[in-house]
Amino acid sequence: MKPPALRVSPTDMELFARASGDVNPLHVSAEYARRTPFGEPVVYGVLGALAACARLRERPGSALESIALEFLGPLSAGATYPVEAQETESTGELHVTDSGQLALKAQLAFARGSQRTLVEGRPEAREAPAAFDLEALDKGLAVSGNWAPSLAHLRQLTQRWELSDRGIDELAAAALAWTSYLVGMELPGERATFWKLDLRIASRGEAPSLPLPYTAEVTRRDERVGLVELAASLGDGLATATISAFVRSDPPRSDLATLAPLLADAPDLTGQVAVVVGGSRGLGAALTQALALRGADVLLVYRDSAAEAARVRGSVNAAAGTIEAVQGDAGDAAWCSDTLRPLVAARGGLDLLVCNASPPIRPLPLDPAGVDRFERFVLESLGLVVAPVSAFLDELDARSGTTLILSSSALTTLPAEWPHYVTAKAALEGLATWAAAAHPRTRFVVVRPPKLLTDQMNSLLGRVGASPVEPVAAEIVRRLGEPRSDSGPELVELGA
Amino acid sequence: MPLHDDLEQVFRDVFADDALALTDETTAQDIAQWDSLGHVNLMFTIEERFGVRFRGNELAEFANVGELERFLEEHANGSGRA
Repeated sequence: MKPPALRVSPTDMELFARASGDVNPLHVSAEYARRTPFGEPVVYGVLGALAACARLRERPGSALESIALEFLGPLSAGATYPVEAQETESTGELHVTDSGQLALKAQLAFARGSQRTLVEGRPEAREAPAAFDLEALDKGLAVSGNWAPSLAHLRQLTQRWELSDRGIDELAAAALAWTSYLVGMELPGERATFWKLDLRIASRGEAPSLPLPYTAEVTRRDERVGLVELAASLGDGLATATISAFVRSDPPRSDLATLAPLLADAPDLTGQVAVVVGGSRGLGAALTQALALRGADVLLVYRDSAAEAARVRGSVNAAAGTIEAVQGDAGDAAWCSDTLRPLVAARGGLDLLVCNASPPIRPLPLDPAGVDRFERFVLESLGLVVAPVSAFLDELDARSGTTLILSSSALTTLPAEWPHYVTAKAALEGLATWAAAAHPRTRFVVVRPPKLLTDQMNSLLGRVGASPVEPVAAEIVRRLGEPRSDSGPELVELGA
Repeated sequence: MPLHDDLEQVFRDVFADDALALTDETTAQDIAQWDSLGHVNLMFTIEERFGVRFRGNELAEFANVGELERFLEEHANGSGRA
């Protein structure tokens, strides 16, 4: 029986990595993916397409002749997505949707023909991806090599989805896996985001033996949008591919040299103890640096981004204050009480709690299919603030400290695809209103920063109109030096 | 066909929405499918249909569709922009 929808499990991800040799970190490393606009590991596009093909009808005596794929939105391992199939005698079209939006489109054409298997050979693939940046990808740049899938792993996937019964023989499945390897590991490699594929399988020829030689060449580069097009061939023309892939630019990083001169009017924080939740990247990193530059002893709390946390800590060696990086889940109340509170107590108390952490924001239209994800996002967002605030209210009251809650100008700009984000930030502002009344000794400051140039926003449209983090961080720290207002939480709107 | 209708048809084709209606004030925020990939498709399609070439990420920097229409009125079909 056909599955009701598409679901790629973490095990499928591992099988595909082994089958194809594509270990691009966007798919296999949570820490790496966190620094891309996707926020978390993304299912291999080709793997999603293979899983979707399980929805096709059986086609005895047919073999795949061509397949065109468009990867339009990221899929998450473990999540379930509806698949719609439209088929004729010789064609199939598959639409995978995510909360009502098209995430993957596949158009397949079949011809009468016998199915081909591959002859076992040693898997051949590079271990780490090449990392071309856009400037290096001149038109005409070519790569070549040998590639062999791990047939044992590929067969586990094709058998699970009964792909050969649906006209996708072993050669076709391998050729698809090769395109993933080519894009993710060779050209463009690490920075690639696979967008479009047009793959043709030759009808001639016997079962080829492994490894298969391949070539690929850059046929077009568009610097304006960070796109390259490739023409590629596997097995001396056994399969030919036209590929479009984006090349991601470097993640933005808060820069101390930019930040330091902006802090001239900021208060002296010498001797003050601060906790910054979500301090390794983006605005949180800039705030951590700014507080340390002004003399505070900062506990930088991060969950995944160890390398980024180390970078922030190492960036301010000559600062007046100190930074200690602490790994943990600030959304876990027990961790806040059992691990973080003793670290604060060892410093004699707490003057400033900065709640900056947020789950990765992915577009999520308000749609019945997305309700679970909506609720999870709001809960996780709230937990990342409620848990640390509840853990430290007594410490903050005792020193008449400050709680800084990062909201967003999205509450006034209302981005069409971010209803979950707007809802979560509005809830945080509600918490601040209640807490300011219930705990008048503690100062509560709600900040609505403008759209910021962070990892999350480092996409073609995201970068447009996004402010650098340093001036916003400096302005927030400067405001800490202003006298507090007497009633309710203070709202600081920095939005453009 | 007036430029506005022509542009509206491009938007309907690119975003696969026959009911899509453009006003001068329409922005990317108003169209759910207008994400980074939709944006690239839109950019390439407008360039092809109107014979223009955007500089850098100019298309994303127009404040709204009204500004885009004024740009196209000036530059469409090679009138003024290489």
